[in-house]
Amino acid sequence: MSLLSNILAPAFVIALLNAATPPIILESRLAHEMNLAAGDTVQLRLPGATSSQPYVVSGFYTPPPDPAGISRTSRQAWMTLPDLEHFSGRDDQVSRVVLSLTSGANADSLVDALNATELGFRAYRAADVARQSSQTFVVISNFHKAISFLSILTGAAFLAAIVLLQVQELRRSLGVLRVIGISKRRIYTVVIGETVLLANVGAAAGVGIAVLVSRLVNAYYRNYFSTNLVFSSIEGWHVILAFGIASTVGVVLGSLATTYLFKSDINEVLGR
Amino acid sequence: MMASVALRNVMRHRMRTAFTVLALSIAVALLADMLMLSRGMEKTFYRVLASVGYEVRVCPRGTLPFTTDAVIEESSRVVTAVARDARVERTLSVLGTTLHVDSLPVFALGVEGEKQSLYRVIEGRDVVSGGDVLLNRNAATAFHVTIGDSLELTPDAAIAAFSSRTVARVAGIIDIPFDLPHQRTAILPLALVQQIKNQPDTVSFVLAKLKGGGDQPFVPLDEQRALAAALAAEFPDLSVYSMDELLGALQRQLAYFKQFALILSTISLLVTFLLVAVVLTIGVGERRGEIAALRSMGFRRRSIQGMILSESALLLAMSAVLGSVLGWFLAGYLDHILTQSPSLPAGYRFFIPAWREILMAIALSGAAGIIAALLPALSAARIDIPKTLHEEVV
Repeated sequence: MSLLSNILAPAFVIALLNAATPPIILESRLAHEMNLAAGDTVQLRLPGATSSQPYVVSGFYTPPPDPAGISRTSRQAWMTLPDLEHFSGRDDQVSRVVLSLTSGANADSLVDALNATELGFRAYRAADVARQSSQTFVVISNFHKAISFLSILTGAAFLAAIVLLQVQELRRSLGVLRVIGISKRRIYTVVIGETVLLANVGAAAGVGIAVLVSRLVNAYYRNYFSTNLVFSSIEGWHVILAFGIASTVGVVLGSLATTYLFKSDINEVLGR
Repeated sequence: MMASVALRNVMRHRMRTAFTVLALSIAVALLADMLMLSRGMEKTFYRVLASVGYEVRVCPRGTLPFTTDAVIEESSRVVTAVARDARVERTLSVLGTTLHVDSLPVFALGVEGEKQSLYRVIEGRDVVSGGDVLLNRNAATAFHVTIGDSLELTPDAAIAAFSSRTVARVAGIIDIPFDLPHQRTAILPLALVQQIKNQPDTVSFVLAKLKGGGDQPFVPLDEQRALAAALAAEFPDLSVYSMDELLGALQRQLAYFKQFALILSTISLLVTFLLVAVVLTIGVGERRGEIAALRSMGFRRRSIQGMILSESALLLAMSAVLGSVLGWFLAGYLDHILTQSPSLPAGYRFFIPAWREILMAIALSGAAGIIAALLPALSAARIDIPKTLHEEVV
């Protein structure tokens, strides 16, 4: 069975009972939508044609999950290349040819050689095609990164406000600690430790919510687009990054807040 | 008076206030931007449809213009029926396909109809004879042709050297709103494209411009819907869209961004609520003695509540100013990121900065902030005066 796809508008497919006709494999969704079973006969008609040709449904095909085709509304069908040539009236034509190279072959030189023939086609490396077709997702990823940065900034500002509130509450007791000889370094350590702990508790809660939301997102969009694609995944490095950022923000804000606190006059803090 | 006390309270801890306002500002900015994202796509789609200038579209069943290769067969029957309707001023039949010039693909539109508004001729003249072709700048540059030159068009690329060619003469240069940035586009007479593709009497879609509308560019939606419904009933094998129905169908294709905007808007409001609630609750706890003293001096509960709500309003007002500016510029930056995406028409915008969305974000954030301030305000007003004074002062 050759790898050829033909976009079919549902209006052109009519189920009929027939046998001894060329085989066709239909996308499972199309078969489901048109209530077709293996062995059924369908009539295919080219856009603009008045006559149709029968094909026997010999199997079903589920396209591999492809983010680029997520909003595709057309359906796919596969048939042998000679059958498609005969059906379309376009002999000896193909949309694309896929080459598998021998081990160690130089893909770059082959691509250059093919493109130098100037016979009306263009050769691409698989990596170039992948990069080109994934450009949209790179853009969306950049958008998500920008939103993530803003979220981190909001969280950091929120944490800073809370730490400052905490530090204000601790002013009196910290003043007493200084008077009885507790070193600045130790007070720094305690305040920073508290801030880092607070930030990491927030990060833990955030990771928990993210895991939950990620599952909801996958369940919703898989159902919405009828696909098995993974839309959201929480990976180990995401968790490490979340705790890393939380700890860094905690250390920085804790240090700043304690420095701000030490600028207060101890006598003033103690109310003298 | 309580407002000035509230102002002093807010300004007493400048650093804390600064961080709170910064966090609230980002929340307000994000909310405004998500509202802009949601509305920006609607506005862009509307601009696309408005630039084309027709109210009703007749397409192959289940398809949208240019989304599949499906065509309307026996299109003259459909065009005649549409044009016959007394409500229709004019029609435009379009067959979109890919043709090739020396193996280079060009997006070709075969058109038929009077006073079309699909494209604008910026040099030369419109197509008048069967052998005319109009090119956009990208195509004219790629094919190295100018007005008066000839082009050889073929239906397929791979066999361009061996297939039959159709010679067309470049009659003009055109501009099509919302063309893809690097797309080569050609306009030809409908019959010529049908002949090249060997698809007689087929079109991709039919556009209809309705009579009336007065000063408005389009007739009211109910009139559009009425004609669309009548045509849909007459041609059950076709999909007929009024402008709002087409907008809805187009937006479903970008449902992700709508849902993303909704989720992030909700999170922004939640952050605003939490921030105000936490900051004011801790602030009230910190000033229990002060509040009890005010109550013992004769300040009523309502005044104390007013003071806390005023503090919330002040924080929100400062955040609204900063958030509006931030949101305005952030919208441009986020739009720049998203419009880097390939296969987006030129001029497509995701975020369109607008005061309406900024004001809506301020109103929503304000409401969330005031609701969040109610609990600490009530808690402050219900302070047990003797007990608190004993604990805090004695």
